[in-house]
Amino acid sequence: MNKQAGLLSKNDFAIILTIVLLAAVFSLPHFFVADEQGQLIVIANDQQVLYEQPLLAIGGKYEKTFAGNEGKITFAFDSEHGVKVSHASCPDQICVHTGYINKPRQLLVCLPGKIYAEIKPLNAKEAGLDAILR
Amino acid sequence: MRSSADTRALVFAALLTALGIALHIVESMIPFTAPFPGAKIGLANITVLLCLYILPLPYTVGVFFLRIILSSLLVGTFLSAGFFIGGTGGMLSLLVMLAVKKIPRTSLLGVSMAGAAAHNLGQVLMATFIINNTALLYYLPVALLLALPAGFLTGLVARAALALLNMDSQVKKNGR
Repeated sequence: MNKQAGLLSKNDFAIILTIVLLAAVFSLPHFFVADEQGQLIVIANDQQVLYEQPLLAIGGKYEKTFAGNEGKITFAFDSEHGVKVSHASCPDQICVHTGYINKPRQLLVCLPGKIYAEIKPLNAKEAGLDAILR
Repeated sequence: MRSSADTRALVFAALLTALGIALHIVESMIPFTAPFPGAKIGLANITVLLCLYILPLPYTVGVFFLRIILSSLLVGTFLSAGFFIGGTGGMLSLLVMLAVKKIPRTSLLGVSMAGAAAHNLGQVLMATFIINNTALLYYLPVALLLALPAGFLTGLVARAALALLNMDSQVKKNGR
């Protein structure tokens, strides 16, 4: 074994730097998201839109249930907090633990059910996704 | 006839498979609220690292596939979306760790961090493919950065375990 002065060897730092650089490259699109006038909650199942609701227009609190690939999934809407999954019949409950989402680009995914809620900029809907990038 | 080196490798492979399954199940029971849905430390990665440094390659590959299939059967996620996502991450991680291990002046910690990052990358890509929505790619930077502390921690544990076993590459070399 080679002698090590510290915990990490020379090329370990190169690995860390590579990972950080990769993360930086993949985060570039975040900086090109335009300021939104409003956001739209879109609930979809494998590219098919099941429900749409402008975020700012949620009146009070209510729930909606959708059928997924494996059982039902219930979304809870709240005018103060946004949208979350309140009940899901999947075993891992990852989507339930995600909590509320309310910012553009946030996603709530129920992978076993193949259902997701996404927050899209309102203007992106008419102009297509490319319009988000300037 | 089996040599004692083969038998010893076989015993270690069986032990590490069992340990990997146990760690996977224990981790799936921890209600871990991370900044990222579904994020885990990846405790089972400790056993993959130990395999890489103790066992010959065919045994390592065998341990890997046995572990993901048996643990998913035990948890009840066999052939589910999560199974394919975890499997893709695991395979990419194993390939990257094998490659990085060959780079000179790379320690076990570096191998572990590269493996963790590859695991998360594979998972996000497979999840993106399954739900057919590229919005998931926005998790990629967080997933890659979270892999650094996670890989560092699992690497530290694996290194401590190797030191305790006091048999760094011994089985691989001469089966002692």
